[in-house]
Amino acid sequence: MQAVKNKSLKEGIRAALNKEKVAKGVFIGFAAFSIIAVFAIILYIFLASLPAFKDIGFFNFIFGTEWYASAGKFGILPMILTSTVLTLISVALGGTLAVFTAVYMVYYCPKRLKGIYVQVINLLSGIPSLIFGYFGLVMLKPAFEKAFGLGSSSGLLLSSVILAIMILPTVTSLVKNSLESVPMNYYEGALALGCTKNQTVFKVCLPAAKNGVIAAFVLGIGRAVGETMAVQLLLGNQANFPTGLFVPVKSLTSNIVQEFGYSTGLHRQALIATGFVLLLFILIINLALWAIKKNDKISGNRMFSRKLKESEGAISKFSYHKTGSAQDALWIISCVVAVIVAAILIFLIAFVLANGISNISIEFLFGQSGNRKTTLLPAFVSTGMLVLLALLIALPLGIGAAIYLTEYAKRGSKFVKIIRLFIDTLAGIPSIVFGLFGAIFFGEILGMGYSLLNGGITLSLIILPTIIRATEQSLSEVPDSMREASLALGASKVRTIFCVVLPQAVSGVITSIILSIGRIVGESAALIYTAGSVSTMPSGYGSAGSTFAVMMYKFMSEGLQIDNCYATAAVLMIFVIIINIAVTLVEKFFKKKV
Amino acid sequence: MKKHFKKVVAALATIAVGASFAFGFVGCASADDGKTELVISGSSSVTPLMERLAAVYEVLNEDIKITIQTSDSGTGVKDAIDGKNDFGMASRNLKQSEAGVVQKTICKDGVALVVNNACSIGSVTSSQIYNLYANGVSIGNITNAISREDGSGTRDAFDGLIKNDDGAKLEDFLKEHSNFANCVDIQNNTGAVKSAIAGNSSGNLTGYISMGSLDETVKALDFEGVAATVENVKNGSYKLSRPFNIVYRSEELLSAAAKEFINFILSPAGQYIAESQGYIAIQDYVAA
Repeated sequence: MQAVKNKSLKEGIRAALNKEKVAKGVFIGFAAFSIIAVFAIILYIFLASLPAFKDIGFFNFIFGTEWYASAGKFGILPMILTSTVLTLISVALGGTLAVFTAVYMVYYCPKRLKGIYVQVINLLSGIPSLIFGYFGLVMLKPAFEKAFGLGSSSGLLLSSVILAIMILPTVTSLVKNSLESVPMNYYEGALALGCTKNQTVFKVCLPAAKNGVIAAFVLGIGRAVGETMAVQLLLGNQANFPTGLFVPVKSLTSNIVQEFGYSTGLHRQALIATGFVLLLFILIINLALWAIKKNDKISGNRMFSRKLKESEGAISKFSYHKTGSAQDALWIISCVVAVIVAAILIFLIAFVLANGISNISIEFLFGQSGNRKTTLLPAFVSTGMLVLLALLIALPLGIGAAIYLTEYAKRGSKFVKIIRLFIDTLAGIPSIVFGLFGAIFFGEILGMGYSLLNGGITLSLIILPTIIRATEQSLSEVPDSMREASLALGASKVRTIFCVVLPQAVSGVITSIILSIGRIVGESAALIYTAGSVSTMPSGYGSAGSTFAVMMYKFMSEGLQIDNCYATAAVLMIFVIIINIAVTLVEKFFKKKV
Repeated sequence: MKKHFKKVVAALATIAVGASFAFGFVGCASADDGKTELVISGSSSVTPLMERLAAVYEVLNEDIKITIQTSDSGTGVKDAIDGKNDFGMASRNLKQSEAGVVQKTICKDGVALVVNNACSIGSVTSSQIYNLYANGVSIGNITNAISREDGSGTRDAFDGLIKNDDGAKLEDFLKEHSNFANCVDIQNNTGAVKSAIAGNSSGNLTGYISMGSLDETVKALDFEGVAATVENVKNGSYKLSRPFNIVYRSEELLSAAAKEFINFILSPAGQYIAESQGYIAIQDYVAA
């Protein structure tokens, strides 16, 4: 009797151990998926662009100065330069505005306003790029033409102003985070030494957050390089060198999105190769970002522990005498910038809603859609199907990866760092590259063609980093004492994770779901060549379908249904607002609970 | 907390299952009617006409469902070659490189040069337009222009029809220089061209769109002294026109449903619809 009991106990332990191992293996696999995805994207886009590099010649392709597909000229140097200049201008502009906005939010914003202001920034980041682009085309472009007395203001200036507004929220929230993590004693110390508040903010706190600011700028660069739908409406799209602010130029992304659809043979391969060059840009930017993050602590301290050179003594004496007014001026600037940013957002929302709301009707939203009249009903269904499929794939993968990163991995181990790097890379890949990958890999190699299946899987890759990050964030907020208590009570690790830790992290999961829905509703560049652009009702995952943003693009393209275009934009805007409110509510709800 | 978690999971699961049922239902509703689906893809210029034709045809034949994918002529031809559609739409003639498919003209369409309603200029000549696009020479106060992207059928017709006084075509100029003059922007759809011109209240921007897409937001210019009207395209005095074609691999490979739809397009009823939408019926209709 005793022996039998012993044996079953042993087996039980072994079984449990195995279960543990299996679980751990599964989580590692989920975590490593990001690595596989990134490699698959790089590999397939590289393979598909090889023939172009071979036939055109690598140097002829990169340094060729002319692009005219009909005559077989494929040189992308003008586009590389355009993308670079465009990015630099817009990041300089948007980044500067963002730093001032963040400073205002952290140090000058009245407490009551702060909550609202955070919402303003979040809202701005949720607006689909197509809306920004259309706004630029019908509002800003004519305004510029009047102001500068031009026939057409398409080009670098127009695009970079819109791009600056688009990257502003991302940069702002990152700068804000790093300003908030500057130790309070820096601030207090400076005040105690007799600095005014403005001097403290601009001479002590902002320099202390230098690394965060640089990282935010680099991320902004990544965003600007990859932006597609907005800039293609505003650039003018001729493959010229960027020799002036109003010369029509073409970026790497706008080249792909405008020509990929009808391209064949070498032309198509050359466009994929353009995508590969774009991907290289992004990889370099991500590595730079990684290096900055790695150096975070060291250089942060260097700022304050550096030795004063003798020659600096005189300068600093002088500079302390004249400071004060400069910082006061900066303070005024940051307040003005903050007001401008809020005004831009309000103007954008008002513009879209004012033009769109009157065209929204129950019939337009839910009426039977067909060739006679297009309604948004198919967009509801297609978007719903895409959300469902993308979440079904990405949620388990994302949550599993987050569990591995917080529960299993040794904090700071090399493997974890690599996984993080790849998750960040995946997050930084522009949606047009995902679109290319989806079209090549799922569409052609796996034979899915234009279908919701293809679109859904492609989208799951796009939302994966969001899910991992949000879940990880809330998992790491679960106090260790809960885990220890559970383990001490004899629960296995897997049980602890699923029954104790994960339930605490529900808010993160729900937030990530809502954010993913927001992303999918507004996505267009990745979907046009994967899920297609039809206005008909999908009859299953095998058929093509359009999200709201793609539908808006369609209405805009035909040019006969501008009312519908505005109406769809208004519906999108309302979605964005609802999603922002939902995220806030979820966070509030769970904060209260805890 | 655990209870709470379960509730949330249960709620999510319910939503997921509910949603899949709903979508499944919708899916069945459209698929299980036993409707035959026709997939047509291609030119954004032909699309508005094709949608009208399809709408009428669907009413006449309740067992047919027609799906139209809008992009450009190049895609329409490419999809037809790849067998991805029942037939493609192209607003230009097939190119030599596009082997393996045949084309059938369903009607003609004028290409209208358009400006903002506030523009004072009412008429232009071919060589003026050539010099504007190629060399940036303004026409009165028209200093800038918009063209379409390389794959557009409208652009193909435009580049082939616009000549300077020496008879050189725009397409010859492009073969040599790759780019238009710096005063020319490229937009890749009719809508963006119209939006840009409608917003240009100073009236110094011109562009070209399908005549069927004309409406009150923009003004059509006379070309070589001839107004852009259906009659003038028909009697041949307005020179800027091109065919609307459908493209497929061969008669034999067409499905029965596709054949019938094409017959409908070419029938007097179909041709009447084309004319009523601002396009030009092809000759056989006029004879019939």
